Amino acid sequence: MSIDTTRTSKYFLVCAGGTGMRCLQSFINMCSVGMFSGQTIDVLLLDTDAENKDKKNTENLIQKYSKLMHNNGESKSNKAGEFFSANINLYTFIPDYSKETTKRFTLISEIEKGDPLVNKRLGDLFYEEPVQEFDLSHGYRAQTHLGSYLMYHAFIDEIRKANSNDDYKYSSELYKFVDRIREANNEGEARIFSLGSTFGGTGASSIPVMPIAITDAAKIISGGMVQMDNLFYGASLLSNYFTFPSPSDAHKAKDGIIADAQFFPYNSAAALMYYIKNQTILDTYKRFYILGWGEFNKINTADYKMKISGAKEGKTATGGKKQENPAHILEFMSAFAAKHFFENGKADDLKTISKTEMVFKGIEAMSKGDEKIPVINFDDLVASPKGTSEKGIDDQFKENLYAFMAFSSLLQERYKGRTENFLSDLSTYNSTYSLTEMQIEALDHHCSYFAMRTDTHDGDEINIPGWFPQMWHSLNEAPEGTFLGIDPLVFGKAIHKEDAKWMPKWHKLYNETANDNPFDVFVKRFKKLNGSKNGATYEEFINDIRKTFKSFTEITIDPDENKIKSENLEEQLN
Amino acid sequence: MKKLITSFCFIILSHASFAEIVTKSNINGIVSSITMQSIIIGSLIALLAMLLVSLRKYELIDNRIRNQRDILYRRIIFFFILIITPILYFYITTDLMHNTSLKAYGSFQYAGKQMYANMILGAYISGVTYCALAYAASYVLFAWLLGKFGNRYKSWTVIYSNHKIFGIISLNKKK
Repeated sequence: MSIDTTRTSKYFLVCAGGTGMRCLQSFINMCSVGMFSGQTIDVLLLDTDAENKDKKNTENLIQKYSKLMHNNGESKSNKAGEFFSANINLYTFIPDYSKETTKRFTLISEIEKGDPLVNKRLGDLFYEEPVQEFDLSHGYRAQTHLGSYLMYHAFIDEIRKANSNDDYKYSSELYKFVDRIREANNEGEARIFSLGSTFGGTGASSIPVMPIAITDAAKIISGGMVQMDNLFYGASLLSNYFTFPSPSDAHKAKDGIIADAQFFPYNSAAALMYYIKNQTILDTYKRFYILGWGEFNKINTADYKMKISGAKEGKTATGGKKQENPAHILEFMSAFAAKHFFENGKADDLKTISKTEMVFKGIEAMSKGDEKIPVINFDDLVASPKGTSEKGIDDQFKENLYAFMAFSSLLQERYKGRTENFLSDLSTYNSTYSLTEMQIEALDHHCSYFAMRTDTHDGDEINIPGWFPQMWHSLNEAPEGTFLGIDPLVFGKAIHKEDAKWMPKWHKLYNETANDNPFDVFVKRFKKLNGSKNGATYEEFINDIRKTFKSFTEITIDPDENKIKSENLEEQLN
Repeated sequence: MKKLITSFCFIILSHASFAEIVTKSNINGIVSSITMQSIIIGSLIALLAMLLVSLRKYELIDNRIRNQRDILYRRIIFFFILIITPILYFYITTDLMHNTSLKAYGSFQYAGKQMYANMILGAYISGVTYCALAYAASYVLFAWLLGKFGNRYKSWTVIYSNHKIFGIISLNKKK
């Protein structure tokens, strides 16, 4: 199916660094489950570490998503529509720091040219020597003062090169992205939202300079002839929410400059101070969504990897092929922050904002001994405007998310992720759908990624939790009902020894399937709602799947009730 | 369920509640009623078969593990009933219900007149075919109706699966 990628959107997303990549994964998943139905979003993927596994995963995910997206969605902001009904155009920009002439600050700045002594003194005024000399191919390594300078430079340099050379222009994705923004500005409105962390390297370096870099780049393209008055910038500011073991002394000695999670809280605090005080930022950004993890326990990525694979990582991965962290609810909240920014307030209202608005909200917490456990509800992610008579967007989103999780898990549980085999079974019951090999392959990948996939580790096949269960793991296996009111069994928590590890039990999502034979219940309902079909399209298939699961009654576990029950049980036992 | 079984037995055995002496004037009517009875029994058994096949649950199973078997089991039930019904009908009507001392087939007393006995026996023997045909035809009709208007497809999968009759014969013309 061909997608009209020439359509100009007014929504632009800039995702920078490892956290930005994971936030983008959350954003893509949000679109997979029917948000931004019928709309187009242009996404710029910005990273300095070409090898970063999170980046590769994200690119792969978008590639598969693009094979599944369609134009059937109804374009309404307060509506959760069909799966994969948002159109996403991807652009990538990776400043090339792998060359001999670009791999260090001193080389990029050409310190050796002209008067090297004067140049060096100037460089020393701003940066310490190790910062000037570290290898940039793994990103900015939390050195944001250097990173911001280099990112702005890379942006402008790329646009200038493209502007002066037609061949370069056609190959430059950054140029195309900025040009789209310029077009949208001319048409009246372009909303640009940045996703990234405040505590790491690339994201933290990019967010402060993004409005200036994009606006200046657009001005270069237009030759400075057009006013960029219709560009509206927003960003989510993610403070530290995960941790990893500090690098060993040998590792530090080898790399010189390396990101260390123990400094993340200080980095975050310093960055936030900067964001709320810097006049340029306050003048350019319309809205900030400040997201933090406060007193809640932070997931240790090394512990998580060990829990899943059973193997201990020898070296701290702060970049490169091994940087692959589990998904976190804050990343998902960032994606929803983008949705809020894109869809709330008219352009004229945004124009009246003269100083950055700071948006934040608190989430409920429960105490368990000394530990504070977050209680995440659907309306913490997305909420409908008060007074609407229709079903709220949070409820619609819940229905869709349950449905997608159920479908993805069913595929894993029953077919080891093979959509083709599921289609073959449906065909036996006279429901035949014609999906292309490409669509089947993309659906296999996306559903495995979402719910669970298998991997071989030391010769054994192990189940790796998918993106959605990873969020539950990131909450340190959130107790019953505290994560979206969903039973932990859905995320693969095993109750019996013989249960397959991390296999999601989707049937616990619905009343109808919880106790009866879930497959019989599913097919019965599927046939009842969709009848028999011969050669139906891919769009019909995903619509029928969604319709079927949506027709079931969702189980929502109330954490308070659960707490009361367990307290009563303890009392009885005492 | 209980009500259904009671009604079913009542209908099947209702003819035994009265005796009728076969005469020249009513023999044709009796033959017709035996034919009708066999058709009705066939139809009722079709309903019973539909109930039985519906008890078998749908299966979703990876064909790398094994093929789906639910339709196979439903077909076994369907064909088993298709074979057993005429046999039972024949045995019950011509043997069990044949009372040689009263000279009667069920409630029809032929009073020693062999010609009437042969006609009744002939009607019952023809009834075997009618019963089987009625069973098959009613099953197809009811299963189709149930699928079309009741959105319940299990019974229909016996006749039509994978868009083929009995999963074998395709109605789509090959290009």
